[in-house]
Amino acid sequence: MKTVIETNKLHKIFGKGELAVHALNDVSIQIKEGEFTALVGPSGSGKTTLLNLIGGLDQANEGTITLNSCDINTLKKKEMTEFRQKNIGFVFQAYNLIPVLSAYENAEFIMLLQGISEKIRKKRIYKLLKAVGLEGKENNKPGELSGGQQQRVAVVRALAAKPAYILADEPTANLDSKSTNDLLDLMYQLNQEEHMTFVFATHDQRVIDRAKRVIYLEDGKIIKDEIR
Amino acid sequence: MKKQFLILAWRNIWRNKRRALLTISSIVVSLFFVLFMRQMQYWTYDFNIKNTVSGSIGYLQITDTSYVDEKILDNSIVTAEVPVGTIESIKGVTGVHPRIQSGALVSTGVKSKFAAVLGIQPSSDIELLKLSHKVRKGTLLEENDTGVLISEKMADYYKVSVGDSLIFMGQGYQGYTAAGIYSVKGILYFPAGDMSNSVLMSLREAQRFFVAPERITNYLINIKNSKDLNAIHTQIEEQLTGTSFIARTWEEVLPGLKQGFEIDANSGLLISGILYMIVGFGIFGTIVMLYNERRFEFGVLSAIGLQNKDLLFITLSELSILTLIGVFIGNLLSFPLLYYLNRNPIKLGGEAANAMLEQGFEPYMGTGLFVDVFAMNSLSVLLIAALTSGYMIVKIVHLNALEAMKQ
Repeated sequence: MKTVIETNKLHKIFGKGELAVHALNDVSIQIKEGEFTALVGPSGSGKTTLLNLIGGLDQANEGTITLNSCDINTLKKKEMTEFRQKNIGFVFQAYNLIPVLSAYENAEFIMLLQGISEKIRKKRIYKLLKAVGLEGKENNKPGELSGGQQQRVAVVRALAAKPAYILADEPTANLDSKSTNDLLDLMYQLNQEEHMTFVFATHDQRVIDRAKRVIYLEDGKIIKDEIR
Repeated sequence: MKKQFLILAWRNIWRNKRRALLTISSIVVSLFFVLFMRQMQYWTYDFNIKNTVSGSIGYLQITDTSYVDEKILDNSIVTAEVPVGTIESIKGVTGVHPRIQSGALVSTGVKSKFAAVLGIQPSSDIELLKLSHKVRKGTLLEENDTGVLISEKMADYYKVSVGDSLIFMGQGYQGYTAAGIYSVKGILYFPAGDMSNSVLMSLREAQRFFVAPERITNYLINIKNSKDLNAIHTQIEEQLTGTSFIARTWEEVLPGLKQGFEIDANSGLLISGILYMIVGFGIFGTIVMLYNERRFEFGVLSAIGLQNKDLLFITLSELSILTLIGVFIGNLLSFPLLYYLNRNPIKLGGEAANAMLEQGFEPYMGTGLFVDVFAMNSLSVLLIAALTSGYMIVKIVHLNALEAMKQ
């Protein structure tokens, strides 16, 4: 399997001098295509920092990050934004849909940025919305959907443009048990059927239980890398 | 893609209807008042130039060069020496009017007072000075009339009426004594200042009185469109090259009047500035709130791959649409009132009228429909919006997706 995420001796330090916090300390990981990985650890362990780095949202102080065969340290800000658009799907804790766009339009947004034709967009989005159980909700605005439904739209948005991998930061934190299970079922199904790579930063035991690989972090270091 | 961005911008505007309406309202109200004030000012200038300048000064004046510094009859000109026919044929010139402007001591009984004496051509000047509307008593002058027209104010001063005589005494051309007894043929009402102390004679009689046959002090030249003033001025100057004559615009002849307009215009500009500040703060407030409310969302959009320039396009489109709506409604709402007052100027009375008369203005209040006033003020609002957008531009250009999402 192709390696989609590779970090080598990553260091990330916040602050300076005596107030400096070593958020990541010599972190090296490899995530291959089709993995269903959870980054786990207590608050302040560095899981979100790692997720931000492999999402191209932040820069490491030391070390290299190769995403989908691209050394992102060489990319400029504009190129990095374009890289994220084409390669990474994001699912955030608070869904973060655009409130003035319908479920369909939210899902369509990244595909539009990529210049994908309307025919392809329509086909893919309707298929995904159906797959996540939102058939008939295409025209609903986020405010007219439940939390679970909004998160499913966020998943569809992340998946629609067929990114190399999906990063999900605490995607179930605001969901009830049923919505959490539904969402995890969906992600797992997409992972199985479309070999989509998922990386979660999570505290949620239900997510951890479903992960095929769990990377444990503590004080910015990987303390355990468990493949199931 | 730009179409989708514009759709997004349009929907974003109405996310907070109250704020959008408040912003639009601030633009509409300010623009309405600015347009009303500026159109009224420019109408007043135009009206007074047309009614006062064209009759008593002319848009342009031809005099002898020496008359500019010393306005005496000795510096008058011989009518035949000026190429009147050529000047009349210049496109845009509507009339060339010979005048004698001087003065004399006017008396009756024990009362005497210095008055301006104006020799006019009744055939054209009666209409030019709109004298028909100003007759209070008696009749107007005929071509070679030997009577005089005086103002109502003078009639009150001398306690004379139509048919009474006035004694005139002054200095004529090259030291001759100018003296005569003239019968009052008509009494006129002049609202504006200078003319209220003037005596009007036929040109022929004025030349006789001042012992200056075939001479005049100046030619008044009127034109169709004040915008052509400089071009016509240049053409007339070309015709006068090599002579001792000079053509001057009304602004050169009466710099005080122009300064009066400019001072008034500047005061209007100051008020406009204050109103534009309200617009500026309104738009700036919207921008600051818009950015701070949606900073997190901007971060998310940037994270999922929207370039900052596209984000800027969306937000600037929102502001542009808001501003354009305000400008459009502002113009639309002001137009009916401006149109009505343009067609039906209000004649002022009381203190307001007196104040205007003292300043040499006709006491009328109307509004113009000057396209450049609409355009310039609309552009000013757009410019203010563009300037205040600088805040949004700086913030979005430097937007960091992660920082924005953290906040």
